[in-house]
Amino acid sequence: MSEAILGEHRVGELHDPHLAHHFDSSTQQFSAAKLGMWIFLGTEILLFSGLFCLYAVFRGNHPEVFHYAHQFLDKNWGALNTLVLILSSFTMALAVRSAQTNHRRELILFLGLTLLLAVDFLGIKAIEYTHKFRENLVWGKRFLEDPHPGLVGAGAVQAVKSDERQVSENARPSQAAPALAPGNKDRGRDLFRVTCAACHGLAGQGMPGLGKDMRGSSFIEGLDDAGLLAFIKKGRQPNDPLNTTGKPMPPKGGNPAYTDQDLMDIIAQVRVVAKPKGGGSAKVAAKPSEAAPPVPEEPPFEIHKSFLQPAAEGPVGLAVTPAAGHRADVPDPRHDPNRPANAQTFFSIYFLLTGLHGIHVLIGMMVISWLLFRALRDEFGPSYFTPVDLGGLYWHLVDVIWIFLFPLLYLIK
Amino acid sequence: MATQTSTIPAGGLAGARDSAEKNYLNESKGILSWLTTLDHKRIGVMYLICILGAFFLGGMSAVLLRTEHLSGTPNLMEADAYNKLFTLHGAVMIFLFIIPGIPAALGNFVLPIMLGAKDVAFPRLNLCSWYLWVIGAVCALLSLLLGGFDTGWTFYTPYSTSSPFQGVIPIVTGAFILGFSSIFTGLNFIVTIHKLRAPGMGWFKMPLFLWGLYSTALIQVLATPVLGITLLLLIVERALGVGIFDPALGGDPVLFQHFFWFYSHPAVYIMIVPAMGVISELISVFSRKHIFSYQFIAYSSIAIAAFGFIVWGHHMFTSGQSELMNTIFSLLTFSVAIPSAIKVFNWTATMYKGSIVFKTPQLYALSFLFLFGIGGLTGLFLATLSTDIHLHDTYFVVAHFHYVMFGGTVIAFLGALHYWWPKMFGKMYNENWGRVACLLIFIGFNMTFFTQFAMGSQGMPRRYFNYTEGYTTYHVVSTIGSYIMAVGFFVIAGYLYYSLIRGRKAPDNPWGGASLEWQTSSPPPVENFKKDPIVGDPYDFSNLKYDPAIGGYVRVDAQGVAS
Ligand code: HEC
Repeated sequence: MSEAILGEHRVGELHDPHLAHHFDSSTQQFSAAKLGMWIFLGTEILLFSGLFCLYAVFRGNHPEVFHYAHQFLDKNWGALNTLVLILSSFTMALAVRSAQTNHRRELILFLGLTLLLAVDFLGIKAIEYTHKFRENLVWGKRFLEDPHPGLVGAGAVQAVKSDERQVSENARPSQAAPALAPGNKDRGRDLFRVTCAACHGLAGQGMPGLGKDMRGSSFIEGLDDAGLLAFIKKGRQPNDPLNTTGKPMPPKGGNPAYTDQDLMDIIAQVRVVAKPKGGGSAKVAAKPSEAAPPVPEEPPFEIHKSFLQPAAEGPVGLAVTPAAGHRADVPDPRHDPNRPANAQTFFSIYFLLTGLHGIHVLIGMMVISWLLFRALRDEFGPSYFTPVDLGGLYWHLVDVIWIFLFPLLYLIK
Repeated sequence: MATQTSTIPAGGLAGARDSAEKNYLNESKGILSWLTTLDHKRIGVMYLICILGAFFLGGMSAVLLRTEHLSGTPNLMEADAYNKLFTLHGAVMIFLFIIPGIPAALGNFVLPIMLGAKDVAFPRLNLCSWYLWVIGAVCALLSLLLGGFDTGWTFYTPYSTSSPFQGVIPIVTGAFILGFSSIFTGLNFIVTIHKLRAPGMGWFKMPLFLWGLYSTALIQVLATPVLGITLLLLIVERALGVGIFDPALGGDPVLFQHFFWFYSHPAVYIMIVPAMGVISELISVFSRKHIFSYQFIAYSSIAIAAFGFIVWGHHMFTSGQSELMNTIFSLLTFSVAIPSAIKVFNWTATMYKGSIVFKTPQLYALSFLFLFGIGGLTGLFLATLSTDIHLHDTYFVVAHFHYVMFGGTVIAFLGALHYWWPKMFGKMYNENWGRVACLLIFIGFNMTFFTQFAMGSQGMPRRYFNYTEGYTTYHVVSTIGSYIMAVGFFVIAGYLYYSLIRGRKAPDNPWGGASLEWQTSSPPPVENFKKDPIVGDPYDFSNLKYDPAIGGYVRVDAQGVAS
């Protein structure tokens, strides 16, 4: 065996406890393990390449879907995750180095850091997923079968309740209109956000080409709640002589499931946004006498303060995240008349790719934990660090795959 | 017998003296010592037992199917049961039997010994592949309990995502797990061949069986992950409705076919290439002649593996692929015929002027040449676009791939089983029964499947439950053939089992093979070799002499004296 001594694996060559019986030398064993790992990584890449291929096919056939739907992903979270992963690859590389140079404390430290960063990554992913689920930006069937389109999160629960209410209303023999309670502004704000904001904007400012600016609208002001309700239920098509923009205002904002009470809640919110803000540039200023009691200077939408600086102020800042995360600069895909057919395939692919990658991150975390456990038992050193080396390779692969995922899903237009 | 081997002059046979004592079979006892073994030989044997079980299941379902077809009206079962049964037959035979058959069972046993190594590179991974196989098989059985599945082994969407039977997800999960088993075996083999060849064994000193296994392992490693992701997509498609393959959700069902065949066509070569490796061994050893043009056979294995990746589109000639694609895939498909033909010609040339010994393994090798020849040539009918439109999805296709898969792979598997049986278990089987069984299978096989060429070309569609009057004769002959084959298999099971109990003790080298496994005892010791084997040309039989005293061959020097 002595003639097989090569390279740096000299220590413990003769009585190496890690040398399996069927290998002649630990050099041979190490290079076999390394070759095996590389082949395994090859199969992992091929596994993902199936999905990349899927991506290419769908993108090639339906570029409009990708162009449209990618804007619903949050680039900032994605970028942050990319940084986290790259950093974790770096700490992993340092861990391997520490094992080779027999620095046990550093090895433990760097493995621990890598694990921590991996947890970060999954945490951020969880935030993104939660948001996607709340907005129902999910895969094929679920996206299309959304039982209460336009109602998400807490709103969805209420909507179910209000549906029940409607059923009981319909069960009543007399068709006498039930007395409508005055709208609930808080609930209305949620409903407005998911249904009307797509065209009218969160603050009622109107999205170009989609909906009309509501701020300071004399039309709205001139109608009482019942009149406004009748209008919203009917909508205003472009062929309607009263139409001012040539664009359609769909009945009930496009969601036929709304009950009158839902619309009353929305109207309460419409009244809020229709008020000219600060009276400054509004063309039609409300007469002070008719104005509602002065609204305290609160924005129409709750602004979630990010733990990072807003984009304009910090280097890696996040954009302002409106309540429940819907972004003001993108339409709500479920009610967007411009939504291309089969937009849901983008989300299917998004979940498939990031999901499979997430599973790999989980496996990687298990591997790292196992390495950490063995490192704590002081099993690695310059004569034996194969597991750390191979675990590191695996982790780098997970990292590299994300580096492809990020631009393909978040950045490419 | 033990005394007989020990009378051989000192050094007569490497390791022969101890052969009666310790070997891998009796080294340790108890079921647990098998279930936790890391010895590639034991793992190979465990694989062998399991895949033979799967073969039995698949074979019995085939016999039932053929029985159903004795007449064109329902005989044994309802249409649903028929659909489930042919699906089961296909899935079990492909995923549980043929793919792991030669590599995982026989390859596992022989590969390290042929290399002069003590074990495969990753023994634990090897055991893990076996367990994955078992889990995959359990999933398949589970799917039967859950109501079965009737999608055909190809699981085409959108039917597989909407089929009313609940067995689809378990079987697809099973196939996914089996895929990993296959990947791990392939990975292990590649690394073993790269890193653990005995000193002196260059790439071109390896027996051609190893080239076959190497090419197979390459395909396993490169293609199976794609199957993995395809099946995974199928699972999420059915369970969650991701809408990748389902046209109702904006998906593309033909894309599934592309994905599926991108694996499954190369998988056809996972099945056939190791069989070709076996044939290279058998033909040369039993013709007592050096293999003709070693390098061409070795490279043609790699060429088949490579071409195998670029022909998958020929499964979709009628699926709405563009004409340009059809033409390209048709042309590429023809190219596979080249390396295959190279092999067949070289085998034939090996036999030319050899002194052919008609032992059972050689009979299988000759059957292979005949049957594979027919299977390969009818493949060209199907690769030709115009004829394929007519023959597509008829019994002609069924007959074609059975000629390749059964007439090729299974026949080679049987040859290999008989060839290495003495080495694996240290017992000789009854040669005459072996020949009878081979004949029965050969006749039965041709009766079963040659008729299917005829009825297929006359338009009998595959997978149909009933048929019209005109096809009755063909179907009846085909069914009788399948019964004859079944009898042949029971005969084999009988005499192999008998050999284990009562068989004559096998000599170290019963056939006069020159590759390394014949230099160790039968069965081999745990560490494979008691004495370092002498690495030489695996097809040079000049220094092997038959010794009637032990019923096997011994190594002699130039003067004819046992060395
Ligand atoms: C598909 C885009 C779209 C959606 C969704 C939508 N609207 Fe409209 N809305 C319009 C357009 C376009 C107009 C202007 C029609 C016209 O040209 O007169 C309009 C007009 C209005 C007006 C009259 C404004 C004025 O000054 O004339 C009101 C009030 C209104 N919408 C309320 C709502 C409410 C409440 C919702 C949510 C339930 C909603 N809209 C959802 C597109 C939309």
